[in-house]
Amino acid sequence: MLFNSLEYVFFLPLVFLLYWFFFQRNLRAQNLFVLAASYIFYGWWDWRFLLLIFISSVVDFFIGQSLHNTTNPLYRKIYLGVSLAVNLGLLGFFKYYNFFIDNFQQAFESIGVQTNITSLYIILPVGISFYTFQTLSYTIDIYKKNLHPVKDLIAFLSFVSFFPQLVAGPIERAKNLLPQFLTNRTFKVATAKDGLRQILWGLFKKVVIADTCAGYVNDIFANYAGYSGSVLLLGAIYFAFQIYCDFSGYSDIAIGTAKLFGFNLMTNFALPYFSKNIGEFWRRWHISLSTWFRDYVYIPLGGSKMGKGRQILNSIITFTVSGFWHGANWTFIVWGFINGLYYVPSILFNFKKDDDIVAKDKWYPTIKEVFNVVLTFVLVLITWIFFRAESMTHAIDYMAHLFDSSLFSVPGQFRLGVIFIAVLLIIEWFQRRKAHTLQIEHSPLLVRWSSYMILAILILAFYKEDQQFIYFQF
Amino acid sequence: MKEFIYKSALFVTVFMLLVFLISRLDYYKKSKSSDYMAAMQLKHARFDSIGNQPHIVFTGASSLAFGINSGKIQDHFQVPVTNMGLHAGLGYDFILEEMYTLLEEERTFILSLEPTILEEGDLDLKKNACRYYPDACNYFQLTPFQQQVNKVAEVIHNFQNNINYFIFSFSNKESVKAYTVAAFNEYGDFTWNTGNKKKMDLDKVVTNAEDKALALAAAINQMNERCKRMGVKCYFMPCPIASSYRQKNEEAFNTFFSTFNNEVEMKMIGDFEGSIYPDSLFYDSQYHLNQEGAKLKTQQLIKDMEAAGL
Repeated sequence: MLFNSLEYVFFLPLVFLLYWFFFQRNLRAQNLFVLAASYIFYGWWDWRFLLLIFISSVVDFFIGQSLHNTTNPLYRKIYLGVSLAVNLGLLGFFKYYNFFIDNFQQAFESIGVQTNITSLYIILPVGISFYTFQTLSYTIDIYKKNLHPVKDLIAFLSFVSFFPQLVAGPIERAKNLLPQFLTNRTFKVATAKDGLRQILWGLFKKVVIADTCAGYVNDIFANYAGYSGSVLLLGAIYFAFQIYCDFSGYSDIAIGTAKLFGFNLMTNFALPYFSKNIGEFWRRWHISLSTWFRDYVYIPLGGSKMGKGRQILNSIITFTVSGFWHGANWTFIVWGFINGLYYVPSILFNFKKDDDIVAKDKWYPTIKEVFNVVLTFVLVLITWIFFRAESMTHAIDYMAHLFDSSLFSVPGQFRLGVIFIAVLLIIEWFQRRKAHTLQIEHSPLLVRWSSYMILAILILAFYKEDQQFIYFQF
Repeated sequence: MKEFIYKSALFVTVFMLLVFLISRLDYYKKSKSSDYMAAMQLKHARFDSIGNQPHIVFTGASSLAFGINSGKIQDHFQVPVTNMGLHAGLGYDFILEEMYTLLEEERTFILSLEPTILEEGDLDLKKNACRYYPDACNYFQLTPFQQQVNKVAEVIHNFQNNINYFIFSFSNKESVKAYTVAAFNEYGDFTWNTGNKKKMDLDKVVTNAEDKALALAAAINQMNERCKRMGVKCYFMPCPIASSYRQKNEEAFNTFFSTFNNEVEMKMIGDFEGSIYPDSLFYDSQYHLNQEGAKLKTQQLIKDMEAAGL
């Protein structure tokens, strides 16, 4: 089921009313109801894949208990290995089987050896990259003795399958979300209202900005050879905002929906395009994933504790693997690798970490801040071309056409989307100190309701059926 | 909690009222829509303008819209020509129903449908056609439930069009669509099909070829009976097919062609094998010729029409 679908318009209020009016008195019953609703939400797409999420959850539930009850280091390693094998095995098969087979065959054919392994037509289960990582973080934290396992299977299953964040994150840590399934939730009007605001803003970003940009992006990337460099630049910029609004929009809807049910999910995007450097960008973009890779890949590799050379290598490996997580294509791997390379100067020259939002206590930034923000955006933009391209050839060819003399011409087409992006940036700029952009609870009533009405009208005006979220493909 | 629910319900009510009021505005009706399906209105206007005189009418799907040069045919035969071809997504029940309403003695009809066309078609496309050309609402049926859903969908559709018209009237509307009513010429031919726009979708596989051929032939034979009863000359013309698509589905197409040829009673203009063209002559799908392909097809079509006695 999609957040921006007619089914969800009926699903959410129904679940909300039943949750608070029929199941509030009994925590276990309420969790069971959340579990049922989550499975219906997920199964609406394809019920056959409910078994996968159930298997992943049950395996890690019992492995968590076994890890906690065992002190034998060998057995603990074996249990962790089983969890890794099941989760990464599921992910590997459904997501990467054909990639490895195709590349394996190409490699052998290049040295004259013919192989006869056929690719399979495998459907990628929606959300598998997210929920496998979520359950893995549970077992790994128990293994590292940073977490106690839960004994309540229903609570655990609900934690894994919680419908607002099931298919595209945020990838929640058990430490944050699981305790919320073990304590009574109370309805708070202010939180619920804030949740609705966040849902509205998320839908606006997705339906109005992202889907509009998507129309331009699909045309420009499909027919890039026929467009000027300036149009290709616009295409890259539109994609940058398509993916930002699509993904952060989904996160806003997820977090806002969770608030309606008394849950608090982590922030996943914190205005990344206002970042002053690459390090800050990655602390503001897809925060749940980047912190996952930091804690479970970068730090176990040694992090920054083994000298600069090793730190550089660890950064590049972590980003490259993160790229691979996004999809079974060399373009994603190269995307990750380039981002890893971007980190090298900050490691070599010990750049100071500065995560304060740009122009923190002022209305406008300094020239230096503007330069840094624009430079960071340009660096990120280059990597988005690889992310969006269908193949390495497509990406390189696109860049070659972009960086020719027509780059400095005025684009004759696709200019309207620039206005939409400008409006978005202006609103986000003035709201940059808030927890989310539509946090306007202290504004006058007329301003609030007018804003909500304008956003709702624009959302319905631009709504098209069956517009998927980009991250569903991961 | 109650206050929260009441305020939410109030917001939704005010919002729905605003949507309804905005949907009643006439903005978008005053503007000319660029939607591809709006071409239905133009084609029927052209058809009606010819009146009661000898008239060659091509009916069918988009392969027809893209595949012929009606002006050349008109110049050769010195008879007005109209290309009614639009979209296979309407389904052949819709297209044949439309053709039936146009049958008259003075007119000659040449029907061309893709082998993979479905009978039912897409309901949303039919509703869209109905918006631009109200008579098209009679070419298909809605169940009572669909009729109620359609009323709500119409409100939302009108609302969306009014808002979009309001927003885009302040700018040069940029359509990223190649499929637009502006692409059609006075005869109803699609004319923006220059070059090879993109790779053809060769993943589409033809299935159930025999069943499809039998069903299509049966529907065409019914139309043929109507034509005979009304004394109207009706012909069937195979649509152009890209050679690589034909190769990819060789067995299926062989089955389809032989079954259809055995079953169909309507006179044919040309044949299936003569309608296979190289990929380079196609625009953006295995059925859509580009301008160069349409030129070659038209030359062949004129010869085939003369051979058929037109």
